[in-house]
Amino acid sequence: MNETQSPQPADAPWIVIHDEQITSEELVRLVEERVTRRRAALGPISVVFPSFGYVSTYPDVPLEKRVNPHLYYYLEQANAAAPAAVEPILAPSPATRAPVVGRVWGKVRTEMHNLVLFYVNKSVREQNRINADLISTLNEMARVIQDQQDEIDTLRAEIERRER
Amino acid sequence: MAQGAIHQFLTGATDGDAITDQAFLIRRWLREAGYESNIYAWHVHPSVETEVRPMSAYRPPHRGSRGIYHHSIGSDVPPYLSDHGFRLLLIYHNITPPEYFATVDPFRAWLARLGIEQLALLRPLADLALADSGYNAADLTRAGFARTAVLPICLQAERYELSPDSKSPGAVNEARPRLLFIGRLAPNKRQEDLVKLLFCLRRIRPDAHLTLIGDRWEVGYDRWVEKLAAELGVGGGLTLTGKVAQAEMVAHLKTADLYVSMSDHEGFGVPLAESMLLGLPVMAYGATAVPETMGGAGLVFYRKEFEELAELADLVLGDEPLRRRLIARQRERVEAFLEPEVKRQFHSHLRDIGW
Repeated sequence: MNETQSPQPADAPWIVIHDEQITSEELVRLVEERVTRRRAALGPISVVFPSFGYVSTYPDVPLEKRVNPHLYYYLEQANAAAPAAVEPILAPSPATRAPVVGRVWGKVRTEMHNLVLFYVNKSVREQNRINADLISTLNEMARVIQDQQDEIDTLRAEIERRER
Repeated sequence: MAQGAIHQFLTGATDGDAITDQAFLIRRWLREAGYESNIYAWHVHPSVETEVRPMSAYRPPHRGSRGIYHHSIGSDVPPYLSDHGFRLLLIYHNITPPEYFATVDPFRAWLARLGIEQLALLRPLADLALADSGYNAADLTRAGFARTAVLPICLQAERYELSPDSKSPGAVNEARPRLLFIGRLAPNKRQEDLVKLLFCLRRIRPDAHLTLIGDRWEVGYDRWVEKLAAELGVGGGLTLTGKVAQAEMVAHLKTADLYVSMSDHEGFGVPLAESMLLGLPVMAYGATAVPETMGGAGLVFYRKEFEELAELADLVLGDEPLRRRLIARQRERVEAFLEPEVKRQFHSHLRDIGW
């Protein structure tokens, strides 16, 4: 159930209270006793909590161990691809340097550009999110496949050893 | 006695925003001290357009003009101030790390990165760089600012003296106990972890309710949080109010039973201080500036063990003497964030730089 942990000395209590009647250590003990009693009464909590934006990183497996070199090559490419840019980049236009009209034209261009970005960014953002989710899932699946392959290799070696 | 002009500059100004509120307060202090002082912002929300002027309306009198700039995100304001050779009192409110938005909102991530880069642009302009907390001041030191100090966010006690019935928090008030968190719906605020806590707490207290107050950002995080609550079967115990007016927020703070924060990143954490002011016990994850803001008051935890935290919440909700002691200590702590103390510090900083 422990999802994240913030920096705190390992020997320090993880709940901190400044109180004249109960110390942090006593409070942690009390809470843990209550959890034990609650689990005994209601059973353990068997829910896996997902985390928003969880990203599984590229499983960097050594070349000689790779199940399928092509899988890792393309997976690495997918991981390296940057999300589609959404920065407001506006190429300079010579027309904006024209006196009087240039300023107005520059302002119109910027506003039009921002208007387009406002709508385009919504769909780019959504696609970036889907891409990130898919790549993260593929990374995790590749990691599982690799672990299973390693286990199969170990078992095969064991069988061969016993058959000898 | 006329003291000259010190204007303030913001990227965006809107009603109910902590930075805008602080700018209003500083403007009052400056005017009371005899300075000419206005607020200019790049983006002015209609809710404050009678109080805040657009940047386009500002005419710098000469190079070397004095100004106060509130920095919290990348924008066109720092290049403007640099181009016009301002001498600045920088007030740094922290920038949420771009990593929180990299996959869900690349544009916001880009603005955050830009904001961090613009610290280098602001550095030579700053006579003094103030930060809301020591945590934020460390950012400034890392960015090479030679002269930094801490000026906490100031709470105006009179803004919280509204009667709870001035705007009812609605029917959810009937649910007990009520947990509360205030903050925009954003991945770094980790409202999802509060839903996980609610799930565990409802095993102990089936009527427990969680109210999340805050702007629903466009990244889809709000929908994800609601979906998670539905999947965990606690959707009925969750209310997302969106952004609310001051009176309604005060009503929520006055009628809730426990304020809980799971936020992973806070440059200060104004609602923590507001809860302390209004006598609401606080349980908060000890990330970034949170332990500093709590200053030994309330309950600070350093692991997100939801089952254990549900027991801790149940303990605080059920142990009246413990609640009273927590509230008393929080009231002592919040004195440091009230107007007399923060105003004194602000004027002291102005004197130090000879303004």
